[in-house]
Amino acid sequence: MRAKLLWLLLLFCVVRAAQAQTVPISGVVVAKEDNLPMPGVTIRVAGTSSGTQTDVDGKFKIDVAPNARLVASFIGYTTIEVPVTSQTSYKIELVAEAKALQELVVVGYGEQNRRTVTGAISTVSAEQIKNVPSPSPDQLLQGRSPGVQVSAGSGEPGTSVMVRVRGATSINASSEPLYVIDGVPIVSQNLARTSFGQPTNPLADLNPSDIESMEILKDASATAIYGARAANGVILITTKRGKSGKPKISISSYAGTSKAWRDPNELRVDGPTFERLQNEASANNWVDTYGSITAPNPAGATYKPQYANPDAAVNTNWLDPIMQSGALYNIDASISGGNERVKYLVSANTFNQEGIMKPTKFDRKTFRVNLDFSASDAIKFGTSIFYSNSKRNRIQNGNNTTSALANAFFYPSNVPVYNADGTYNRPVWENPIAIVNEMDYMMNTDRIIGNVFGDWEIASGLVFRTNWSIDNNYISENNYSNTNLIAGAAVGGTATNSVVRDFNWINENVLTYQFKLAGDHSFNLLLGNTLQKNVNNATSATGSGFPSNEFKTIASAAVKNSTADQTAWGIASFFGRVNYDFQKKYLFTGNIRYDGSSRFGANNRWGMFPSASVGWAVSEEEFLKDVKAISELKLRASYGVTGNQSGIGNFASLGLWGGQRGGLRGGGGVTPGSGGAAAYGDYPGFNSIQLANPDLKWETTAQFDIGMDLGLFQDKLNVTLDYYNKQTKDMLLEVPVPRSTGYSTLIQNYGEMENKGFELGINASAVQSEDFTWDIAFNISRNKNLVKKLAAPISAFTRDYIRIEEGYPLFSFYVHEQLGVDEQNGNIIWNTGSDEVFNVNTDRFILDKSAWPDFQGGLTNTFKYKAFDLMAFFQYSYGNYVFNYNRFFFEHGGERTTGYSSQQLDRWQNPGDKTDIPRMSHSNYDTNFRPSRHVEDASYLRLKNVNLGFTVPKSFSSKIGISSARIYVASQNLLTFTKYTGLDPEVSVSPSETVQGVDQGVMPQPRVFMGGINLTF
Amino acid sequence: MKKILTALLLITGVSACNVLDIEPLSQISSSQAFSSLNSAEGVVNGMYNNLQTVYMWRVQVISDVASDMSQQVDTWDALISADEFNFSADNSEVEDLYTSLYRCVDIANSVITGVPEMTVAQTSKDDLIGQAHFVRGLAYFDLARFFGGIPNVYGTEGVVIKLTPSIGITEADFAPRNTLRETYDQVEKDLLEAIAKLPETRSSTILSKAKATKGAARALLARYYLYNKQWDKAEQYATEAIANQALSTPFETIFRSRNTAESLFELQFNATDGAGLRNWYFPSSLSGRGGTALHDEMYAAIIADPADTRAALTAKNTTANVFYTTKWSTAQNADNVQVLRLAEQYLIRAEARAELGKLPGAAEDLNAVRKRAGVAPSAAGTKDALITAVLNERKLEFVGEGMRWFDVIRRGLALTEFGAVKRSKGSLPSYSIKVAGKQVLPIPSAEIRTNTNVVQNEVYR
Repeated sequence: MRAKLLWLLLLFCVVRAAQAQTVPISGVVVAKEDNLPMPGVTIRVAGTSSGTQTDVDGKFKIDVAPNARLVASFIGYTTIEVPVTSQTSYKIELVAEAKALQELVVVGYGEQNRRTVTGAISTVSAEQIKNVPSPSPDQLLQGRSPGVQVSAGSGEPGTSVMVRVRGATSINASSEPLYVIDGVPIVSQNLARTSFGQPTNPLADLNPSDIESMEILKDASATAIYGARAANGVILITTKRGKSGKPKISISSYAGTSKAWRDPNELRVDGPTFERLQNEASANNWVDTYGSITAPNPAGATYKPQYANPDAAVNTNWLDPIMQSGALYNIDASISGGNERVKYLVSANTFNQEGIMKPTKFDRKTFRVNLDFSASDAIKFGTSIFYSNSKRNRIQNGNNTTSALANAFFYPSNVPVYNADGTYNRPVWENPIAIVNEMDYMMNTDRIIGNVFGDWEIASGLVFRTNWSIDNNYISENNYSNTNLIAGAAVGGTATNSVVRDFNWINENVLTYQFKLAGDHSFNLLLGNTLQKNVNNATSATGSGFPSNEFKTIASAAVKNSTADQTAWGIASFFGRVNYDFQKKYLFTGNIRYDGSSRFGANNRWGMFPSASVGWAVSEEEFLKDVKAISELKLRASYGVTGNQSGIGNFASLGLWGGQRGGLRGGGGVTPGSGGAAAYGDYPGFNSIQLANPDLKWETTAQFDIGMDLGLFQDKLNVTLDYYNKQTKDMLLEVPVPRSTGYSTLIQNYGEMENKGFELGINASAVQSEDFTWDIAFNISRNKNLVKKLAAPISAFTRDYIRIEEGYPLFSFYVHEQLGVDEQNGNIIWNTGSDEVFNVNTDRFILDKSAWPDFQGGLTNTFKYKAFDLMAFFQYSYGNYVFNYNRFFFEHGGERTTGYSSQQLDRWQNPGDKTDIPRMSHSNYDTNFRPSRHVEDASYLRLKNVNLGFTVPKSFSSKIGISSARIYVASQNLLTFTKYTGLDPEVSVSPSETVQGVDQGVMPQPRVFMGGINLTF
Repeated sequence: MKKILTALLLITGVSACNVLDIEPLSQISSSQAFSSLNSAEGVVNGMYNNLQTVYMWRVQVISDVASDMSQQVDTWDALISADEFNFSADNSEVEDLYTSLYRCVDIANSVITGVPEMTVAQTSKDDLIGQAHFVRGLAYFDLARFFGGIPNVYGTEGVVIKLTPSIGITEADFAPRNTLRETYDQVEKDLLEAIAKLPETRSSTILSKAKATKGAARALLARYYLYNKQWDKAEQYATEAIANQALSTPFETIFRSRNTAESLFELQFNATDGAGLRNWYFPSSLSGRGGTALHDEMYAAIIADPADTRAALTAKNTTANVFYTTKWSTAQNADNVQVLRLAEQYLIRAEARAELGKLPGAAEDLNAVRKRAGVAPSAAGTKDALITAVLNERKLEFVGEGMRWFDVIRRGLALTEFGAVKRSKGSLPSYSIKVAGKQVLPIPSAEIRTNTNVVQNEVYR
């Protein structure tokens, strides 16, 4: 290596020496179409490393040897060579490339012309996602790209979003894609310590307006360069950078209001109705037990309704006081510009959105500086620095005894909010109004993502890049329950404060060499290594016994407790890539990555992940060159292996003893920390918490992809079609073990999963005229997930409602199959299996219905008529099912003393009634029943975004110093078409790798109305 | 290859070891668990910690709600089904109970295997191993009576017996259930071993109550012989456990103080551990969950005799209009749990003596318990009357302490006593156990799914 460096230095000296015998020349570069000067054009002397760039006026000066050739290049323009003659002044004209030819795609550790790409990559551009009120960029991908399934877990701003690229590859490890922003693999998993049902989304720290493009790498050819973390796809986020030219100032802002798109009151029953339903149930049960309503019981007593006078019942609306219409606003400001030496972009953003439930709010402020320097022609430096501060005010929701929304249904409507003495009334659990009024929770995140990079063009085409990055998350959470809440009452108020610092550093070093052989053989070689380490420190303190409800910091608490923890992981990798093409006709890409992870035992620490792909640009062949209709036709195929190591514990392979009590059920087997300290009273103790598996290794996914890119009518119609087959083996699986071992699971490489599907994307310029344009973007995709091999079925959700079993997809529902309701007697007709008798223990089946959609995608229509523009974006999901867990609880048929949801009103009452909700009696609503009627078709079509704008004519705006001005009105979730009876088809309670499509007490998606303005100076 | 890679990493200025060799800071590896006496004592404390999971409320509330003692008045299905004699195999409380018992077994197995290898004094070793035998015996006793049944009353299948610590998973771990007899025999073996190895007392009163002693093991063994109808041995071990101690602690003091003379083994809880008994019974207005209450008919029986001082440890939940026990009442649920009490030994001996025909001795023991409660001596004179009186006394003495379910079953009275139990929040006028097979809980579906060699109890198939 050292010798090589010396050699390179020598080479440098030679070049310098050669430069001695030169003559100065100058010139200007203009664009051919408008004859305007072009700043920032690279001027190079062919065959040397000598070069310069044009200044703001398009001018350049350079010293050249006689008979040299100048090479002028600029992104989006055809590179041109100009021979140096005796002239000393030159005018060079550059010709813009055809749209598709110029299009560069961001790929792992570089960029590539879309025409030569052989992998499956989708791009979402800044244009597609602007002016949409979503806090996080991942949510903006919804419906935009085939093969990418995005579902919001809840309507709460800043909470997690499920993103699946070509299905799920894992059960216990994470199936989330890897997010890389400007080359920095960033933290995308929840770091909050307080679980409020829905995890928080660290991607909401980013400012979507900073994004230039998002590239979704889908097949093994595109992803394998990220090797061990690429099995679930990679999402590359590229931020905007400065361009040469005058300073450009952009300011945009919007403001609006949001409400639940479906009124939750549609699902409540009032107090009198509640009492009538309870009376109906008790009367029916009396009849079932004693034969008739007039028959006495053995003690001689006759039937008395539980509620004597339902008409006079108290009628409390528990929903209205906890819901709100939430305000939102966003302001973006940026300035960018530069010259041939320095380019800059500075941006700032503030985003504030209130949730549709009190008192939720998400508030974010961000700041970004992107700088690029050219120290010399060969050496460039740059930096991207991003800071954000996010504040979340959250409320407990979901499947929980202090869930505001769930409890608003659990609380019967015939009881008052307050007791006579003014305290909260609590027939069960926590009063929902107390939860929204009294609970204090605030999460504050400070995040810095920054990198510095240097490029050294060692020789023509040979570039060394080093990139040093950090992703630093600092999270502080304050949770306070005052004495008006159950949690705080007995102990004089209780508070928890936790602080998490999650620090990542990443170093990447990449050498690329681009060259041609014999004119027709183009090579692009890449070799690199990267190191990453993550350290997570968490400290938390709790206090109880506060002097009064006004004191909320632990400093004032009488009893204080604290804990601290540290954990870390690291990854070291080497990678290489070969891109080759012959006349841009025959394309080949080969990748290899060699990864080592601290999470695995020494035996299996390193893993190798190769991929290869080939492409044939048929449209470049002579026989198609003359077919005018076909502007592009490319066939491609790829195969490769990628890995997964995320989502498992940092020390998953070790047998561990620790000071925390092991948990009993659910994820992680005996999860450290899930059950409090292992001390016995005041005696310190520790216990075994994890079985050892020294052979633990990478989960691997082999993927085959075959695809086609077709451009017709000068690329007015573009079609991309892909078929893929992903086979995952050696899953990182928490294999259930016999409980008689004292453990519930052991993490092992076991099991196989399959994802197969197709993707179709169509982009069309339907109309292109002077005054009117109409663009259409449509995509549809299907993914079929299948668990192929498993040691034993796994119960993934409470009451065994979701079961993972061989031969079924993930997220399958395990229920008693209800075939209908007998019209004559109102009783449930069950699927009784092989015999005639319904057995609650054995007649339970996995439904052929899961949370996976059969098809999903989006449709965007964009119209422009003179100064007006209209964009309508529909997003859809078809064939996905949601288990409406609310109905399980609130359609209880009198078996519970809690409230009803309105679905109960459709119960069977009289012979001949056609309904699937049975007669209200114990025999139909046994609490051990898991009836399939609660698994509902949640297909939906949503007008996700609609935006109507007006661009102020230039003639007017330029008078007031504005180069462009656009005002618009917009709406999100304006229309929703669905058969789902719950609050929202697009929700999931406690979403996780194994649980999707369960709805209970989850904040629905908001419907937003807003207006905004975009200004450029 | 490795060398080249490391060299490459060094060039970039960072050591790969720094990135890849990361040790856990909060945990230790299995090999370090028995490195010193201090460490081994930590493991034993961890074993009691896991026993806390079992006895913080699970054994008591699940069995009492399953019986005619307590009822579930909130919306927690898993216990409502217990209350309605309607356990299902996916019942999460049943699963937690089962798992937490085997957690105790596994740690006890680690102690019994790991301690003999240590180089510490034999007395220290015996003490640690004795405690492990005690906890393992208790855990298998609970597993047997909840999931297997009572010998010669109901059930023939026991539970899987595992006597070695789990390190990884082997074929042997997928064992079928042992018979009920084998399971109970293991309990007896463990408890006899515990008696041989444990000390009579410890350095302080608290420690003598907090950690197993010979007395605790004898008391548990007396209970074992009672369940197995080995009356002479029941009498013998109860006598040894009583060791001439009178019932001197006032009834209320047993629960309002910690580690009284009444306790033979008492689990220690602080505010961090949080025993859940108070939480289940106390209403939400007093920061409990108020999910569990006494059956109305049980409450009527408790307050029937105005002289009975034990009735004072009950209160009314006005929101739900039901009554609950106030035996455990410390804020933040920091109540100790009295696992083995002296009064139980008196009543075990009374029952055993009645069965053996030693009627005066039986009456004497029964009346000792009644006398402390402030009620008149029992009028029962015949063997059968005495046995009935003892059973009734146990009901009143051990309100909320998780005895009733097993007492009724082991006396063969389940189908009659649990034939028509009223629930104040139930939709049906009354609930019945209906079939003998429901005298045992289902093996959790999680176990059946995983270990297909384990056969489900008959009525849950």
